[in-house]
Amino acid sequence: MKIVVAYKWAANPQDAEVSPDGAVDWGRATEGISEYDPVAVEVGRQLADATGAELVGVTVGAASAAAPLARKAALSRGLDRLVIAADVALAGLDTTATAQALAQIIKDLGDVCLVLAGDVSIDVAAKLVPATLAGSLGWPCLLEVSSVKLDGSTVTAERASAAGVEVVQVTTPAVIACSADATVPRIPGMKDILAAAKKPSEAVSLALSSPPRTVEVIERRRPALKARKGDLLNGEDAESAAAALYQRLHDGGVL
Amino acid sequence: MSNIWVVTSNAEVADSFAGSVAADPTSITVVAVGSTEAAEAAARRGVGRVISIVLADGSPVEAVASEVADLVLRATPELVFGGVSASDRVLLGAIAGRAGVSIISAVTGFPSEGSFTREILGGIVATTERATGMVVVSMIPVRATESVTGAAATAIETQDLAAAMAHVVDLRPTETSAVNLTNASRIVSVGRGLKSADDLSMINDLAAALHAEVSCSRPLAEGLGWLPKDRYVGISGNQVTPDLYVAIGISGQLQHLVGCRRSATIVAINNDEKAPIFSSCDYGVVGDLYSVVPALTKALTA
Repeated sequence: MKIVVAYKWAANPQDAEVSPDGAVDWGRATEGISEYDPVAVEVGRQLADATGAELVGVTVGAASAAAPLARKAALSRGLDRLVIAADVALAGLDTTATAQALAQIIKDLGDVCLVLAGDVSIDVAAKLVPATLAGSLGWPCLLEVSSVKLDGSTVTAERASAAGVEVVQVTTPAVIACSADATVPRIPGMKDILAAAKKPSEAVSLALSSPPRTVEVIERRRPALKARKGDLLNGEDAESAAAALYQRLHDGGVL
Repeated sequence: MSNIWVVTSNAEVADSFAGSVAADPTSITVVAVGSTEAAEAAARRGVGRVISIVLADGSPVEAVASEVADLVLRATPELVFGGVSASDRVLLGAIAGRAGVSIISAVTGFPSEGSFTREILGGIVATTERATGMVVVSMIPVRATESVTGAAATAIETQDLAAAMAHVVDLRPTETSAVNLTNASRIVSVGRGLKSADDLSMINDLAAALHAEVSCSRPLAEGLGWLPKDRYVGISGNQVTPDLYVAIGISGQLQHLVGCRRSATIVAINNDEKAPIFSSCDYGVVGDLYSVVPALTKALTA
């Protein structure tokens, strides 16, 4: 039995430069395991230890996702092994193509009872890959899950709803996206990093043609941000600063 | 376009999209999943068709995602819209994943039917895009304009869907009330500059004086848990468009700014004059929030 963690190797857009024509220069941005994914890996480790399942990390991305540094970063967080599809042609796939590529790897692995993922990626931040992966596989899916237990073919998950904390049971195989508070991920120690060097990782090339994008970009640009006044007040004297702020908001018709 | 579908479990999304995603409401079919309120809201808008999916007791919305996807795809829609809640995303992902069509988020406008403006890569690039086939769109409802009251203008078709894929086995109620930041005209938002959860009372006092809702930056909701998760503003949380947004003790990282930068007026209060929020505000006070916030509350209530 296998538990899969679908993770992403990505950089933070905050560190990228965007030119007026909307071209992105990622030169100064450092890639890493996307910030929510270590939580999913740690949840997977706990479930694998409790059930005896094998914990397999899966990712699809640019060639850099298969670099030794990237593999060690993933494996040192507690995965048993990796299956990576990394290629220039796979860089920047859209959500559906990414989901279908992940689905293909998961089907090829076989005997997968559960796929875990982070709720959101640091770069695209659409929060749509886990659900679209579930749709591609035809498996049930729960998102924003704060606690997961696995007992035989039953997944018991907790999540926040408007009314409170809902406890939901789904039958395996299933796709679960973990929220940031699902567990505290480890900070890999020397032991984890040494162990990572001995764990297997496999590069696969996908024999599937990506689904055609059904939306095309006709224009890109830097976002036109609203011009802001940037009127700054010195707050050392809090009372007079507050009075001045109140006056400005009042005069500006905001209050 | 003549075959546009809205698939949602949320009444606000149904109401907003029924009134906004197509020039001609009769070209819209709304599938309301497990929510009679959503079905009724859509029916009042006079859309072409309303299908109300009735769930079995204890069945969450996600349990019927595959069946709903089948229902929608049989109609070969041109565009499918839904919200950004966890349940709505599961419904939309089931449709896009099964059909192998593009699914997009962060749509900010419709220059014409079948084309979108949106912000991609965490908000650093703006694009204009055009549908070349069926497209699934997950987006935040726009702020409600006028509401429609009175009788339903569309007959509601009900459909029972039984699916054994998922069951709610327990619900532990929480006391916090749900908040609607999307429709808030004023928001007071607080971040890591706050030293203790006890100090939230000071923030609540300012919000009360301003008749504003309270929100927060991500660490307060996800790391510290001082406020519920439905109150955080940012790329992965709420994206708000109030008339007034007051950012208190929030440094202004990109992931937060993307959530608030469409506010009409932004006020920042922060003790670090180098904080990026001061480059993105209309009015700023560089000072200790613990003295500035009570002073502002006093000025407002004087």
